[in-house]
Amino acid sequence: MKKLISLAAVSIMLLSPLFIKAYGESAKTDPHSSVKTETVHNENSAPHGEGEIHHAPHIDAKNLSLLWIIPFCGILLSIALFPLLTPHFWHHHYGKVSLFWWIVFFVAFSFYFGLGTGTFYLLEVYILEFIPFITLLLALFTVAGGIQLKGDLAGTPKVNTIMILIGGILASLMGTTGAAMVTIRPILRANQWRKKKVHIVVFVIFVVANVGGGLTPLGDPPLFLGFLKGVDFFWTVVHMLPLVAFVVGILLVIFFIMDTIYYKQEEKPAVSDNSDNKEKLQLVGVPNMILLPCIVLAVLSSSLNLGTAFTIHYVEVPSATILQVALLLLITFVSLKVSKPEIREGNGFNWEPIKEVAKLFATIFMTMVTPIAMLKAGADGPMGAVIKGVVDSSGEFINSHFFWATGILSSFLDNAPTYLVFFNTAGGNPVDLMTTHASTLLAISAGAVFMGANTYIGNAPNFMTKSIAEEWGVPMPSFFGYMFKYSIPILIPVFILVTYIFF
Amino acid sequence: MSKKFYEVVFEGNLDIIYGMLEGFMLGQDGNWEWYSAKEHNIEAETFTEIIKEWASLKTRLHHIIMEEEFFKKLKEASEKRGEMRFIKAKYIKSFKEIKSSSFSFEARAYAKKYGEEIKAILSKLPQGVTLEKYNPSEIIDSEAKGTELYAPTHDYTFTAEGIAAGEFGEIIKLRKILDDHPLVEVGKIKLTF
Repeated sequence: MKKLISLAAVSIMLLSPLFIKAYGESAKTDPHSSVKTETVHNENSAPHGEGEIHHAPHIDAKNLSLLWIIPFCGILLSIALFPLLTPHFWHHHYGKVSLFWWIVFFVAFSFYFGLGTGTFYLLEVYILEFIPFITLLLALFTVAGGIQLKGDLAGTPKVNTIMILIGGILASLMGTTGAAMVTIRPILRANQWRKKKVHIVVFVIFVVANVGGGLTPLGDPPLFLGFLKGVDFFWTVVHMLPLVAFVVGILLVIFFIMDTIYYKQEEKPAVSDNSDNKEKLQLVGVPNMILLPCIVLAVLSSSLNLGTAFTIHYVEVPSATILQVALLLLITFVSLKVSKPEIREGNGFNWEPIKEVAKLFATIFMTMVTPIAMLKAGADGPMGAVIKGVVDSSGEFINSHFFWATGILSSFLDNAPTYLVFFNTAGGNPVDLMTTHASTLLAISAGAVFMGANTYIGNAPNFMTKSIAEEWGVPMPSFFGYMFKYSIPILIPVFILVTYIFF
Repeated sequence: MSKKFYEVVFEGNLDIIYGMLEGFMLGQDGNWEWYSAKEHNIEAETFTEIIKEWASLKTRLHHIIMEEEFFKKLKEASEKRGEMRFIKAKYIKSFKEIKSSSFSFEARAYAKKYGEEIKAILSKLPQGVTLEKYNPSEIIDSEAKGTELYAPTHDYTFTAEGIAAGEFGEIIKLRKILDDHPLVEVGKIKLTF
């Protein structure tokens, strides 16, 4: 039954373009649809992986009803609330819930705007955005799963601080999910003898699963989405470096002080680290470490101007995008071939996280079409209130508002779509955002990446880290316990400081 | 024969009271058990005492749980000796014999190893201690095995809650054992007189 439903879902997704293609032209002239046929010529704003789109059908979002954001809000709220309210139901049926929102959106969209327009957006979203996105995550996750942090360590404050720092650095190289997967088990193993260790896991969530990933587009999905939209890879590195270093630095100092206090309260003596047979702290999995820079190169290859590979229903697919996807799949394949099985076993590696991301983001990307179009419609559009909330009376962006608005939404909803919402609220032009409004883009990036740590649901690796820690016997706090005991008293003052210093 | 305990309310400086108790034990060469209610999470203060403490901004009343023999010898000695510079007979404001005691607990574990540990503690109860409203539950969901990002559940979940009740001497030891387990939350010890 489950397989039949999955098959039906995949069939609908894959066959709909073919079906619709036949009727595309007639739908385009549908009198009651708000569809425009536009010619896009702006070379400067052409994002990575997006070719020029000639006479492509576009929706006119200026007069759209806000009801069109229901599927987008629905999938985001499902991701946020179901794991808290009915974790077992969600675990077994999240794919169906995601498919439900996808069908609600696509059927309504194609009915209202015409099948041709629906097909155009379907192809544009999946070929130019979703496939590069998911293949990057797949490659990062697979390569990270073949690297292991090893060593017989006593969980002293010094050792714990160093391990969290290593995890924070890895986060920007292999993604927060991979880094959290690689780091959490050695940290838990080193601290198994300790009674008070909840704070250690919490700081792994803060630094490794969130803030540490802020340095590169590989680190956190929002930054990669920015890259897909045209933000330069090294713009992110250069501009985010001071912020990430500042926040990680403060968090590690706070952690060291807290951990030293709790360490001194331990009744049992520390597990000796003076044994002759002890294994030193080391990263193992050299072939996969070599593959990490290959991922960077594969991602950068999408910036090459190699022309258009093919055009399908107005969507021009750049050769560079195909090259990037092919390279990432090749890296994934090589990683699987060269990795030692015991390393993957030690990391608890399985495909479930990637399946989850694929099933949920397939819907997020599609349902995001209307809210983003509404934001692009500007201050007079249906979501003008959002835009007016982040500009002053002279129409200038208020960066601190961008930081907090992106951050607060990223705390409760997935940070990747939240980033895109505010990226488009700020105009959505990558060239403008990297130059004239660089501080605004920085505020959006920092808000989306850093404040994912505010709650368990802010960023996907938070839940994974919590779940692994619980299975290792750590009594992790509840949803509100995490917020009131840790994130509000520790992170919020740090973010206030960031606001005053950087925005 | 199990030991009897008394809840004794002392009035005065806490350090002096502690010093008196330790000093008395040294002088008598006794090896009695005594526990401060505050330090051992024993629910002892009355509502009026709490209000008085808030109003005066200092704690003058201290609830100490003492073995019967210790309490009786101390009481007798302080009454015989009369007023001293620091130790006064009137320091003992009141005393009550403890008939029984209890505390509530809640446990939650997501790995069989820890579930078994908790079950083992609760299956070997000391003499004179019983469990009330104890409802352990184990849920095994083999499909939930592995690491998940957006839909995390555990393949093993052990939950239990209940009330341990019985003689004070055993209850305080059991509470300490359960409190030392990171996956068990224990409530304050309630005394019945």
